[in-house]
Amino acid sequence: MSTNIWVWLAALLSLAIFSYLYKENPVFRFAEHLFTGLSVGYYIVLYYNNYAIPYIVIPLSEHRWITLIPMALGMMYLFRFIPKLNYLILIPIAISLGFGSGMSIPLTIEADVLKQVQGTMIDTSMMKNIWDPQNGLIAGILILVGVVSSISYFYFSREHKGALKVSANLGIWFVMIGFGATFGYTVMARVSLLIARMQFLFTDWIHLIK
Amino acid sequence: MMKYLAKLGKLDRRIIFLLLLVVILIPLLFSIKSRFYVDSATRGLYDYIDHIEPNGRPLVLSFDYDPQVAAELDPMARAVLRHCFARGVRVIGMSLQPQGDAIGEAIITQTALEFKRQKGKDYCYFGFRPAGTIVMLQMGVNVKRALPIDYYQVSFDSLPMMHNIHNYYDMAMVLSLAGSNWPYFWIVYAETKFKVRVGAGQTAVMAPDNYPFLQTGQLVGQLGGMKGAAEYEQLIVDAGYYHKGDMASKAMNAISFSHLLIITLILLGNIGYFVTQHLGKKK
Repeated sequence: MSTNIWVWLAALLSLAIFSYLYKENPVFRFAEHLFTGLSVGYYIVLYYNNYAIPYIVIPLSEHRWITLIPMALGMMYLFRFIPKLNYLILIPIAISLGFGSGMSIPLTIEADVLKQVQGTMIDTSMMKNIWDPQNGLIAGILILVGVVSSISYFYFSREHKGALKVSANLGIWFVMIGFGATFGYTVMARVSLLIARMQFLFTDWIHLIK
Repeated sequence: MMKYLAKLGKLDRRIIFLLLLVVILIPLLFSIKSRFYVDSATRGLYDYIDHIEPNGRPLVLSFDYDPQVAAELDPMARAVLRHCFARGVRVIGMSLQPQGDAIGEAIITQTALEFKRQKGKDYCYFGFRPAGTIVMLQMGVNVKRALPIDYYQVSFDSLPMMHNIHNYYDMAMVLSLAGSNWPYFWIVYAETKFKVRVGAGQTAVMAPDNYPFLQTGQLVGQLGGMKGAAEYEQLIVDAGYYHKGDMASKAMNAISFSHLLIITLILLGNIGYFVTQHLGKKK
């Protein structure tokens, strides 16, 4: 068994959380509240050290007065608590929205739409290795058919009849296979978390696994 | 017989938890080992890092995750760092997630110690940087302004490794380890705008979201969940960069066993459902 008090603390808190699997109980509640409180305290200290110090305290101590402008804009959010002046928070919100949209829209269109459309195209380089799971011809055809049929399923301006019905039904199959793959990955993720906790309890705490 | 089969659909969830615990513990306790195939996404990331010039442009490793998902991402971080430090590839560590701050520091320090790498010379750690997307954009213009002081409150100019690092053009790649969609933001704001190569290490829940970006080459590679970590561990062991597999490799058999159990339970649950329906119709 471990002689490290922190390992014991972590192990006992892990068991407290696991006790919920049997049923809701005060030990689980205690661990849950402890975690919430610790997280809040941690965030406050972290934000002060990593936000306030490098971006406010240091620049102001070096007489970089331009820092006062974003600082004042940030503090305008506090007008939320003064009913007569709370319309002033629209200023920082408008600046954030304008900057955020201008920054993200062109880049998102390029990364998410143009490059992805380009990725569905079949070209002669795919003939080199027909069976390659990423860049082969078969994969290319599957991606093209999958994208077109899935999009046709989400086309609601016409009733799904005739060719559109065939394509939309095929699209459902592609979407379902996608959901299945995602669910499989999710199962692996949850099981992985449990395994890691077991490794900690049986390796670091009670030294049963070497 | 039909009655027993019908009961399968109403199995107490605590029995399922107990069964899961048993199938996980057996391979862990008896150290059952097996080999597994390496995914092309993992291979892509490994090959890219394997071609980074030693003591050349550094790799940026961003610990964009919280302790909740550390089980999957810690082994990835260790395996990638071992690969880098064994080859003499310099590393810039940082985090865009508040709780990734301490996780990254612990892992990078421990791994550097294993390979006797020096802080400030072979690696730097800048800790948590708030406002992630702004940091990504600023790093493309002026790294010093994005990362003014490191985790230990040492200024950028006092770090020898950072002397010739101005923006992404001086970096080999960015690898984001995340339990949320940080790699996507790195693709949009760093890869698309500044053309820096981006890789991802994702929890298994998030990994499928990135396959479109792997197919288009916007990601050089990806480690998906515990299996991705185990694959990377196997690759660095096979190449002689490290002597043994770590936590992820040890967990792989437990994962396989638990998946078999879950598949069996899904099948039995479905049988129970259909039998219940069949009995209901008879009545």
